[in-house]
Amino acid sequence: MYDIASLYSASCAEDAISELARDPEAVVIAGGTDVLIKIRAGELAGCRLVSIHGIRELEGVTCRENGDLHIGPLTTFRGITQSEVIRRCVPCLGEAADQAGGPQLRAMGTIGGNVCNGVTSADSASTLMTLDAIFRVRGPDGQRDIPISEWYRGVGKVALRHAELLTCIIIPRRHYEGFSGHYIKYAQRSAMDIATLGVSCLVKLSGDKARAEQVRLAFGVDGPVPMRAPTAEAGAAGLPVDEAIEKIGALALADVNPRTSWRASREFRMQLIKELSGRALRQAVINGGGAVKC
Amino acid sequence: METDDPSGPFGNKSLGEPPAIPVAPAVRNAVLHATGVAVNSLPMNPQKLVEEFRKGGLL
Repeated sequence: MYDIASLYSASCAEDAISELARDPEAVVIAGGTDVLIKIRAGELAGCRLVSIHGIRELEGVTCRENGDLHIGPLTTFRGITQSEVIRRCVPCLGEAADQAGGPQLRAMGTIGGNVCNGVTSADSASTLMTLDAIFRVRGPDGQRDIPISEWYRGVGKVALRHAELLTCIIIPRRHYEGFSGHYIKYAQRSAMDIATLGVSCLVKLSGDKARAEQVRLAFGVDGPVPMRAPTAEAGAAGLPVDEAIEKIGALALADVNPRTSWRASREFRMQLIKELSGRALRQAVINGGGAVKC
Repeated sequence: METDDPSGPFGNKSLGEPPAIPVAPAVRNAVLHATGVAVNSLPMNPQKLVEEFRKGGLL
């Protein structure tokens, strides 16, 4: 059932990188919640695996002295949701991670795998987009930092080269401080389903909490890769919160171009984008201590 | 069960269909009552309703 030619258990990140460099066909496996499914479906039949599962240096969430958050890519969805640092600094990311799959998947699947897999429906992706996360990768030629805006290259394709390993997801302090957020996953069912649309919204309220000073909005599944909505962000910034909530949905329609698939029609997705953008912003305002009229 | 229904063949009475049949029309009529949009085919899932509401000028 699982056609695996070989499995190499790496002891540390360096070990994994050198093993990957030796074998250009090798596939990295972490939690296995995507890779094992592909193997079973035959897509990766006969593959050689390099396992990074259990490498301690790649796990856990820390807040650095300068306030930047460093998320180890092997942190599981559950680890993200339960992390003290995440709950304090970016609770919306923990809530987004808690919507992926079911409990078993969240105990195995990792946030690094979620973004390296390069799919648009990844539940952590749109929130990481709004947070302008930076991906630190290490390969045989050293280390480089890739902003999330340059990370996604197409369906299932990311800026990671072979033998490069995602070693850290960085959320700089200025990207999250003062912001509150909310993620809405729209799917046919409320669990064990892939999002028909994912909407993540961050807002920085003015001192009196009456205005939305800065707004960041990102979608999953409205295109081949997760994407931000710059028109909606610019149009909603500076408005009184109720006006921003009312307007952001229609503004977002200028940023998106969803397609019809078996999961949902283009028309339906446009309606979801229009409606859920406002709802996500509304909840983000409430999470930030702001008051909304409707 | 024991009563004789003169309107059915051999006096029998259907028990499966009658309770199942009116549910969908009731939901459809509730949607009509609430929105003024008459949906005449199933399923009445979110996507279908969005499409029908657009046709009806609600969205």
